[in-house]
Amino acid sequence: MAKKLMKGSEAIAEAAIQAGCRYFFGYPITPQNEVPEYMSRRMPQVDGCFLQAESEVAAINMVYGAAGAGARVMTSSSSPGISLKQEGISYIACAELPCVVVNIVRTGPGLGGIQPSQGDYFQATKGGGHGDYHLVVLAPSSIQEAADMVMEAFDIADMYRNPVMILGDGMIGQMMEPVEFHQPPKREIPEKTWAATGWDGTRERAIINSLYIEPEVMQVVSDRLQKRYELIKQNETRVEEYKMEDAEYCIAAYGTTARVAKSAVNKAREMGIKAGIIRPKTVWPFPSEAFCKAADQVKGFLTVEMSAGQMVEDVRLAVNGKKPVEFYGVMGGFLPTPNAILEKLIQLKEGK
Amino acid sequence: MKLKKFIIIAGNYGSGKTEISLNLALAAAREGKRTMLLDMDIVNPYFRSSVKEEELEAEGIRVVKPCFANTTVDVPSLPAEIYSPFDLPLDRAIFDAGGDPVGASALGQLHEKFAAHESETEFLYIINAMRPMQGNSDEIIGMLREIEEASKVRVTGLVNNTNLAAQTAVETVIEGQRILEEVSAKTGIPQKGVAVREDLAVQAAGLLPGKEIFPVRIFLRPDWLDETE
Repeated sequence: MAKKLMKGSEAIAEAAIQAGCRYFFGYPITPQNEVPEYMSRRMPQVDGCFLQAESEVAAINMVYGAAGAGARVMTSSSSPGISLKQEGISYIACAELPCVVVNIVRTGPGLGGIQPSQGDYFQATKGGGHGDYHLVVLAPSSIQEAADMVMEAFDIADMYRNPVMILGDGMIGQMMEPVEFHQPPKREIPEKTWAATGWDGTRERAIINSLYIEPEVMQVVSDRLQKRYELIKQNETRVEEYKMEDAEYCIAAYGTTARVAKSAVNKAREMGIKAGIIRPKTVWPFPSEAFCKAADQVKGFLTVEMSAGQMVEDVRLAVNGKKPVEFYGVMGGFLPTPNAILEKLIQLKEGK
Repeated sequence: MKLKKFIIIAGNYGSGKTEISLNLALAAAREGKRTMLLDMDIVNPYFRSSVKEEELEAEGIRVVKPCFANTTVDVPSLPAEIYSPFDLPLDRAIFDAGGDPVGASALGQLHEKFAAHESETEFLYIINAMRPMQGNSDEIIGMLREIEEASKVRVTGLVNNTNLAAQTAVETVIEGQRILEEVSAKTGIPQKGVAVREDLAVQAAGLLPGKEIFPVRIFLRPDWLDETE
């Protein structure tokens, strides 16, 4: 497929299809409506199933079912809708099932607004639903990266039998950029012998379950999950560094905010301020090591988010008090401007 | 481009109709025409023509938009003022329609007005052949017919605006031109011009002799977006 000019939501949907996803269950909510809309047109062309569920709760439980049968399956929503899905996500994590959940984040709390936000970072990375589990959370900062990450998300999910979330702010859902679809690097994905596809008497029965009444069994499951999370941390942590080689000041930003921050860093460099960016591409697992290492090099950090300050907590944990970590956030559905970030950088430099 | 009093700009999302509408409105106002821009998109939450309302009003352009446009309220309703272009002393009204049959259905309520002013109405359909599921003439004609049906108005002219945003090369425009000519041949709808980002206009004019070139200044993409691609 040649390059196309695509909205983020469309690119996410097409990438899922290119990755072999043939089941999509969702419910409309702005600013990600183009995901289900695109799926509704495209799925019939590839003999797939698009189904608009009666609610987000129903949709995530349909995902649970399809994933249990070993299918590549996706759902998509935006903040309030993702909150509704949390119980199902926790069940899927406990049942050790692969699936992809897209959250195109809008402002909150509550019904909030339809403009972009990064206020769901805590929900995405620290649990969201109940219990000791983690999602792998990929945070694209361009439409091309959103497409690439969605395609890889299905592989990561299958590899670790764990749900993967695509965390994009409203801009990632709504803006348009040129996109090409490339298959991700080939992985050795284990056969889905656990899938409940009908019992033929030749293998152990596949049982999809998230209920473990006996504490000893629950403990075994919990330990297995935690070991898997450690493996994911080792293998799947992704980070991009921008102009960090000689940086004296480091901006921490992800998603669209990192794009604005890049523009600010370019302006800062023109003024002789040696700034760089560490951009987590996975926000769980969080690239703590990159920040820990940078703490020995730079004079200070500035975390920029479209929130009241959520990722900044992970940055502070990684920096561990070695250097000051300042925060600049915008809320309400606004994007930070390059000039506002630049001003904060100057303040950091001047120790204000 | 020789233009009529009432111009409807429609096309699939991402065809560039909003940028073209803004350019047409500003060009008209700068020629001293009494101009109105009507943001008729009842679906799209981001990147709408009315986000530039302040700049447009400063140029003397009256902007009419959905009641809750650019707020966080997702309610599709249009003000009664959308009927005013047919009664006010006006030189040009540009109707920026929604980018799919649902979005364009808002035009439908004006179809009797457009019919009554048929000789003064131009319905330009904007084509960007780099959009997904709009890459060949049949897909484009399918969407065009759906939009016509929803809006109850017939397209009178095609405009090639094939682009890949910042990655647009003149070859992109030429590829779109080939596809547009197929659309034109199959439907009998004439081409009305080629819209192209202003920095490519001279090059495009050289490669497309005899075609009317409409240079487009980009308003809605934030600067940092393409700088950091």
